[in-house]
Amino acid sequence: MSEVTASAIVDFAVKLEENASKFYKELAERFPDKKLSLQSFAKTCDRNRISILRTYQETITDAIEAGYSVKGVNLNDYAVDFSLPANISLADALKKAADFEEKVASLFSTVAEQSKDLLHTIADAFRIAARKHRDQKQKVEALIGK
Amino acid sequence: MAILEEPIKEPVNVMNYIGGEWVESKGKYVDIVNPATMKVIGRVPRSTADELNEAVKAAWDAFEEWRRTPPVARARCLFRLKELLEENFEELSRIVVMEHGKIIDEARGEVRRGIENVEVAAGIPSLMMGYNLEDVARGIDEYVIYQPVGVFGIISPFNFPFMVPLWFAPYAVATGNCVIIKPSSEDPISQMKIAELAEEAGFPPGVWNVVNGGREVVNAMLEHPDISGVCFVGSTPVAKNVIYKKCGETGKRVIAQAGAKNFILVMPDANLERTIAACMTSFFGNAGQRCLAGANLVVVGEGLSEQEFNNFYDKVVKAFVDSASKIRVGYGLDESVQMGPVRDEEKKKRIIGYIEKGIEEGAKLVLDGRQVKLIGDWPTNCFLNPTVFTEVTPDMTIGREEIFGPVACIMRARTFDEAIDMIHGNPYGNSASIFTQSGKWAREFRYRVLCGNIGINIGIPAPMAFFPFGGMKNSFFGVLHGQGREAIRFFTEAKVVIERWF
Repeated sequence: MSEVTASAIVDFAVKLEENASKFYKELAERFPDKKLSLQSFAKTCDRNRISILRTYQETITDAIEAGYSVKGVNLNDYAVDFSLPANISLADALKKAADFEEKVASLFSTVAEQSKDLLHTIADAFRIAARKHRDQKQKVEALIGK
Repeated sequence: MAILEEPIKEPVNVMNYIGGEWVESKGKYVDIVNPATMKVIGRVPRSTADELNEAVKAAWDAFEEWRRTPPVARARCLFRLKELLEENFEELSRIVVMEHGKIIDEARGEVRRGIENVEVAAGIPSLMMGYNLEDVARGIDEYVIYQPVGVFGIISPFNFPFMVPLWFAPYAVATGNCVIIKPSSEDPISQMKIAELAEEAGFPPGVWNVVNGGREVVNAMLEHPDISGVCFVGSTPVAKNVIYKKCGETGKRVIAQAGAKNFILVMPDANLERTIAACMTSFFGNAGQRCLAGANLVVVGEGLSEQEFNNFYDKVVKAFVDSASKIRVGYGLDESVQMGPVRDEEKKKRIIGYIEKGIEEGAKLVLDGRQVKLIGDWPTNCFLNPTVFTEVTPDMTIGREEIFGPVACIMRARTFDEAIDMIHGNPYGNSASIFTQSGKWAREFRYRVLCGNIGINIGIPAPMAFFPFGGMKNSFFGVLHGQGREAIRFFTEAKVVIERWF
């Protein structure tokens, strides 16, 4: 069974949040009429990134003591393509966003579930971030419907 | 997995920091080698006794002004230092990986623990308050005030190059003293970085000094009549026969933290999955080079029949060996890695010597870490994989002496009392842990065991910054300990004032 270290999982999560934020910011530039919504999505990703990183850095000694790691997760399964082709429509870009929101939420939920017995502070940070991505997915889908 | 970017691109020329100046030493320089890559990452001087003497003078020159600086202003320097350490958190962590060899998670943990000491010491306006009583006799009041002592030397070991000086230095300067830090010459780069940040944080010249070197600097520090006290972390022979003895002779205060041989008891009712996970980081974290590392795992058969005990022992051994054999060893900047190299080739040779001794004395080698398997293509000079012995007895060399490497010794104890006797039969008393679901056994353990740090279902019972770092028997020489309130007391004189006005 594969075992992912605390450092690897947090680094991967931080990069996902960074790239998702960049994605929404770029989209906000391209589609000014949806700027406010898209910027707020980017802000959620930024807040998640800060929260996960801060929780990890503040509890890393507990993580070491408890032997914190996540088993059975292959990070390659959660690789996301954040590219935005020059001529992509808003609807297609948002569909892409909805897909990665689900993927990120799924990864974070799995990490939270599998590590909750080891260190609930880190698990909680992932659980909350997963919930925010699920909420965000709904908001993205609502935007597609508009 | 990709290697994280190395912060040290060119070899660092390590300098001394004396009286607010970065000065080149006149001593001989030696290479600092990254034990994972075997590349030279810096040069460190063997400073001379004269250079130490210059630092003592600079520190005393700064002392009078610094002790008159209000505690709240001294605290602000510490707050700024904390902020700078946070800003540089990742770079500092990666420097620790490169200079020491530990994995990135362990390095980040070390940096965090160091910063926590700065945070605690920043509370000095409250921590340093004295106490008083009116009318000890009619019209007479009496009170205690805490005052700084002078200049302290801090001698640091190689295994926690960033953190250990911060067990002492923040408290020393917070209370109005000045410090001279002598980092380990094996991995001094992070201390140079901290001194740069201390300078930026606004500590006046001479308050925070760093003098690199070896025995000559240590001896000069111990002999110097103007060094008020010494804080040392290292081996028992040096702590006891050199530091503690010399400080006694010269009338210095002393905290001398020394070696260890830590026992971990597994009771029949322990949560085995969680116990084994905690044991892996305890025995093999930091490649076993930790004074709180588990060394002897004692499987206890209290209340079990002979057959049940044998089955339980076999189950623990199997789970332990299975987990240990899966630990991924490699360069600490590879985030998939779980254990790094030991600090240098000499240490590896010493550990292998212990493994050979274990075989010779009849212990059963069930996992041989001498057969090195690495993640990535690195020179194997300093690497070992986890080693596990079973059927170890407390009188064997590997069961008795500190190995300071990734070697686990598994022992049997028929009863809880027998296990306690094993702990007490060992000359060290740094830490001991028990894994159990029983409050009764946990309490008995806490109550009876003669060790300074006790873990109940905790594999590495490392005290937080606001608690003292304990140690008993041959693991500690002194009275007061580093960290928290005891450190405040160590770095201050209690002056009693009795007052009457006519």
